[in-house]
Amino acid sequence: MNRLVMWVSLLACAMIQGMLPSWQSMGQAKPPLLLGAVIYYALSRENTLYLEAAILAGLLQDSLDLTPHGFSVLAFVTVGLLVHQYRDRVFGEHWFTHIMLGVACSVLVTFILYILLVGGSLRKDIPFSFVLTKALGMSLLGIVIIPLVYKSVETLDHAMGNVRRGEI
Amino acid sequence: MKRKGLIFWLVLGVMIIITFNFPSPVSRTLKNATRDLLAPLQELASSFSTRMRGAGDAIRGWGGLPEKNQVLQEEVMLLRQQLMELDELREQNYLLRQKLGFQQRQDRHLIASTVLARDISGWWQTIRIQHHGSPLIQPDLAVINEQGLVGRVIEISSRTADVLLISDPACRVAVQIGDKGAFAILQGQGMSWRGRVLCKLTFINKNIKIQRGDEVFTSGLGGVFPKGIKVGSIETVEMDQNGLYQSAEVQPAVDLSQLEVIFIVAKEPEAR
Repeated sequence: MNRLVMWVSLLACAMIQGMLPSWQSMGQAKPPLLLGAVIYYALSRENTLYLEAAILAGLLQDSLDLTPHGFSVLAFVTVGLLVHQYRDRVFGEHWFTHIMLGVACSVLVTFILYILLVGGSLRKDIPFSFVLTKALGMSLLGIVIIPLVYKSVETLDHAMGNVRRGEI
Repeated sequence: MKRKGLIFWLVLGVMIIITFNFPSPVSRTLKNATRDLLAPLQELASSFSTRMRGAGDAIRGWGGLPEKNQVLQEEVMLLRQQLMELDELREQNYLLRQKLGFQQRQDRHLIASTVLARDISGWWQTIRIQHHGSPLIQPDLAVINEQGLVGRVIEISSRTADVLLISDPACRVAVQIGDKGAFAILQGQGMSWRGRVLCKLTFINKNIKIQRGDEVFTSGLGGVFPKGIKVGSIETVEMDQNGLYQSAEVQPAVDLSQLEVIFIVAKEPEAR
């Protein structure tokens, strides 16, 4: 049931993220729904489910994009590992943690993807100012989106009986 | 415990390396399968969103306007296409009469489609459109709407096609400026921080006088974009650093952020 919720959540996030418009004046920042799901699993799961979520989210994003496979996988796995590593030192269920993680992880994912895209000669023509603006836009969107996604997937998990309220 | 941790990192590293090195056919199959899997859901969501907008308009007293607008858009598009073809026919007729030569003209027709989604990561300027397995839809076909050039088809799956917009830096279009005989290459420049789409024209002959407001059309050179499709109009003109060419900024004719219905310029199979 855990995996079913994970698949449904990630597919829904990928579909909605693809349909939502980008924030043009903020480096075409897109609402980071998939990242929100990755953060949820990294904060709330003990076993390797969070890594499965990160890899699946990365594969979904790369599959629905022109970016070659692997780029988003690396970005999301890095975020997943870091969040999971420090999850005992933060209040994992508190909305303020989700906001702060939303900001930090959005910036991190933006820069990892930028380095990979430029390193792979796929986007040589992107000025660094664009990436800074995009990181800012992503972090602002992350403030709103990450807590929302976290709450939605958590509610779905509770509804399906995967976790009891207050267990996370 | 230490060994377990080492195995974990090894497995993770190998998995990431594998995803980076998917063979091209595997990667393409995975991409197509994912797009086709989500396409029906996106079609549903897209149609729901259109209906919701329609309902909103109806509440405001503009009932039926989106449908009428779409019908009119398609009609305008067909009429413009016919007009464009008539202009070309007239020009060809003139040339034929004058030179007594023969010029073969490639027929084309338009396939209407709706936008399902946009680029998921925001690193590219693309849209995903639906198609129902039409064999006429292939990569490198021009995509237009009633305002002008939108982009070109780059990838297709059995249910969807990805269109690279002219605002993407990877999209280059051979164009001509009005009737001045100036040819140039148009390249997307993404969006400005104000959200304005920009394209740049490079390698314009320095001896040809171009000015703000001059209209830019596809030149037909290069084979991807048919001749005579409006691309935009000149915003600013400046001389190249070396003084050898002019360059100019172009404002696209199409509002790329408001795309809903687009048309693919399909190539008819050549009659033998």
